Amino acid sequence: MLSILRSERGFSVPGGMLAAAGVGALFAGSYLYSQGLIRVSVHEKRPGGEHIRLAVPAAIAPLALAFVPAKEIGKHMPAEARQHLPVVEAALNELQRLPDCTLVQVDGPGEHVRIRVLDHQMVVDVNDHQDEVHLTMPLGSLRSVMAKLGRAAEYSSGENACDRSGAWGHAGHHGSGHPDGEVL
Amino acid sequence: MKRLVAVAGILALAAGVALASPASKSASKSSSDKWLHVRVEDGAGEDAERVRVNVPLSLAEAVIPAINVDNFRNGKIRVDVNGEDNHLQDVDFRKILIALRDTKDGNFVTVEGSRDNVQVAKQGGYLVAKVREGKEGGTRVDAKIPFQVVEALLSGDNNELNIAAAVRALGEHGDGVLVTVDDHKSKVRIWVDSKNESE
Repeated sequence: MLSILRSERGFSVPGGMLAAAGVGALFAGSYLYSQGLIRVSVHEKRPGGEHIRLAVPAAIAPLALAFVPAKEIGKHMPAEARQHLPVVEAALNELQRLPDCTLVQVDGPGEHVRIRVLDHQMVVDVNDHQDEVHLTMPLGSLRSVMAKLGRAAEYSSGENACDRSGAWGHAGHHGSGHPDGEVL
Repeated sequence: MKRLVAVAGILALAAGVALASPASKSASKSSSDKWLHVRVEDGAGEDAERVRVNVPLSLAEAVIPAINVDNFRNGKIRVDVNGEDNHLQDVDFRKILIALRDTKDGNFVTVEGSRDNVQVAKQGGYLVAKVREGKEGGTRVDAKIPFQVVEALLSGDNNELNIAAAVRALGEHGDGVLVTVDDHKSKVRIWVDSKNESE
């Protein structure tokens, strides 16, 4: 029986599978690392306030979205969100090309806001009397999310649904075919 | 066979490291490397509020045509000349602009009031406006807009302001201060240069 699991040259099948799984894990880990992490940190300064820390591999967001039908997302997408998708997409494309920089900085008495691009990530830091919020989003991973939302927008039944030519119509690269059932 | 496994392992590791390395920073430079900077300082001392905005014009160029809200569509703002602003209906801004462009440098409008002074002039390819409020310590506004930008702004229909074209023209123009506002409480400065951080 054991002879089935052991090759003539001394490599066992379970050992080979383990090695393959190790290499696979290495590749998966490398990929996840290369896509960066979405980090969210919210600290409420009031006594007993919440302190939430979240770090999610950015690669998971498009992966998770892939399992949600575009039609379902579109059904629940507010008209305003659909209207502003092209703006966000256009901004995202340009933001990815930017060097490290600070886009907005506000410093006031007890209030600090900074929005910057750092290593192709959008970093938002807000610190005021009530909360301290830090947000890091890898810009690269957001593109596929935006593409999915763009397809979902075609199913949106918001008030401005007839306004597709103006709001989302230019985005021809999102495909004119029926996106139902598409995955990323 | 062991050597083969070792080589495969090294290749796998190399591929993993390559995948794990940060994204290439040699991203292509945009058509316009100019940045629009806005700096606002309100108040003084510890209560002062400072706002700094640095926007690459390439970002503005990309985003503005995508905005489709109310009167702002396809990079143009439609001015409702038949509505509340109907006093503009009979004004042909384009003709005025052409007339201004073709005239020599000089002052077009000078208003010297008991309190305020206003001056609008053309100087070396710029439309220059100066407002002085009060005697001393009053609000001072200086605007110096390149004529190409004004021309681009009025390049749409008569009742449109072509913001996208104006931003493009701004990117093609050289560095410079566009607007400064200075009063005893606050200071505003808007300028264009090639640096990605404000001074």
